[in-house]
Amino acid sequence: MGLKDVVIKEARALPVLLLVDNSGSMANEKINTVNLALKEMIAEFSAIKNAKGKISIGIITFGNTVEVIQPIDKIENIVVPEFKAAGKTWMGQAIDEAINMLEDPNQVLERAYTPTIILLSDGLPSDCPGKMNPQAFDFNEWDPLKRLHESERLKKCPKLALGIGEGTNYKMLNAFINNPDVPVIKANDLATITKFFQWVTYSISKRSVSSNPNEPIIEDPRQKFTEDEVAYLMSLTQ
Amino acid sequence: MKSDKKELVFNQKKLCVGGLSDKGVYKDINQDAYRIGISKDKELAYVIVADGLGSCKYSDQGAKKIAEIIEQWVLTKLPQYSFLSDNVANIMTKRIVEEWNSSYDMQEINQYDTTVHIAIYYKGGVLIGGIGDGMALLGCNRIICKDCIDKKDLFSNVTNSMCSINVNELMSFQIVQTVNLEDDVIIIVSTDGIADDLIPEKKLTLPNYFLDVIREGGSDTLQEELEEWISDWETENHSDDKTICYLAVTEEV
Repeated sequence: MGLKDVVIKEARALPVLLLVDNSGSMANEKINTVNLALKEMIAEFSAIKNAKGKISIGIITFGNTVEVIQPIDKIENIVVPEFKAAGKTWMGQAIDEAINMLEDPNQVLERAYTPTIILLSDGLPSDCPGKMNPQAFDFNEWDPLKRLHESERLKKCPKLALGIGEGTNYKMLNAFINNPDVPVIKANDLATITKFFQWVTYSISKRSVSSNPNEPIIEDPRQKFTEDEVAYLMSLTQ
Repeated sequence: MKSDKKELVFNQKKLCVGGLSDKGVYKDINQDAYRIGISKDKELAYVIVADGLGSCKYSDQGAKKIAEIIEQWVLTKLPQYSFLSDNVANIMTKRIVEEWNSSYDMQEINQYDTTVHIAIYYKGGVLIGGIGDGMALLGCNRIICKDCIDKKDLFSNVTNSMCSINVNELMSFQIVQTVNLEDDVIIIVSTDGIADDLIPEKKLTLPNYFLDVIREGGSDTLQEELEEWISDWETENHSDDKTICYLAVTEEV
């Protein structure tokens, strides 16, 4: 044995986990736009050279069922799926599944950089007790989000969220992000979905080639989005 | 690259300490620091490795400072005790933390934050431990080999440190007494710039490998191998600072 035999040759992973709402309300144009934007994002990630943090991707959908469409894997192994939309919004189960995946050291090695979790939804979670009266419900106390934010391993993970349309509960997405410096992005039209993916792509790409990929890099949302697209969070934090 | 080693013989044992530190690619300053030392009179040898947190503006100074604080305590206070014990480790922890906290303005101390790990050989006993991520491998009697750092299941570069709120509880040490040291002993301490890129199952073979090289070629040979290893690090696109120290106690033939 020589000393070099002990060293891992591959760069450390920079995991990105996408939680995609593919409930019935996402059908047609919304899900088609997500499909297209995701393909573009993966293509951009694949083109990154000399990354200190090697991007790996995982995808969980929540519609009829919660499904791990793509376990966390290297970008070159990702087969971009075509999502179909149907059914309810089992978001709580999906968050639990995400926590299980990211906390599993066999799926995400200890040497990995802090993962980014991205949530896309156009509605209210069907499995949340607050769905009957969301305005009065404290989503910070919702079990899946509590578990996420209390997880020793995951509490420092950057989280980004896209709400699509007026049916989304932005208070819940804000509780998911749990960081007053990072806004929920509000997509009033399909173009914002594409812009959101571009924003995520920029942020993750910058992190992957930075000297410390654990430092979150978030492009100033005011440069990327109109006031209306981040307005909800701004009013919350004022 | 900074590199040095020291060795001496007493009581039919050869004590050998060495350290190497290499600044990361593209970086202006090395945020790691280390100290090594050896004293025949005091029957003492030590290695100290500190890793200044990348996100903290003055962590290179903090890493140097904590290494100095510990070195001073080891050289001036430890010899007042007859042997290493949990009690000595607790006193050392308390004094180190007090000294650290008084070194900087509390408004700014977070900018100096650092991890630190220590290995001390003193009068036939060994103390090993510290706070934060990295690696502290202990190999003794050719059987026991373990990493004394519990990563607490955190991701790379997410770590406890000298500025953690409960630093007194998080800083922990283990004592290995003489009775377990009839054979050779080695401790390898490194920053996460090295530790995170080692194959977990294989890194536990390092202590015996180091001992074999020292026995066959001496510490000069080991030092040369380590210099080559660190300067030509194999992980792709690696750019972290890398620091490693070792403390070996071998039978003098």
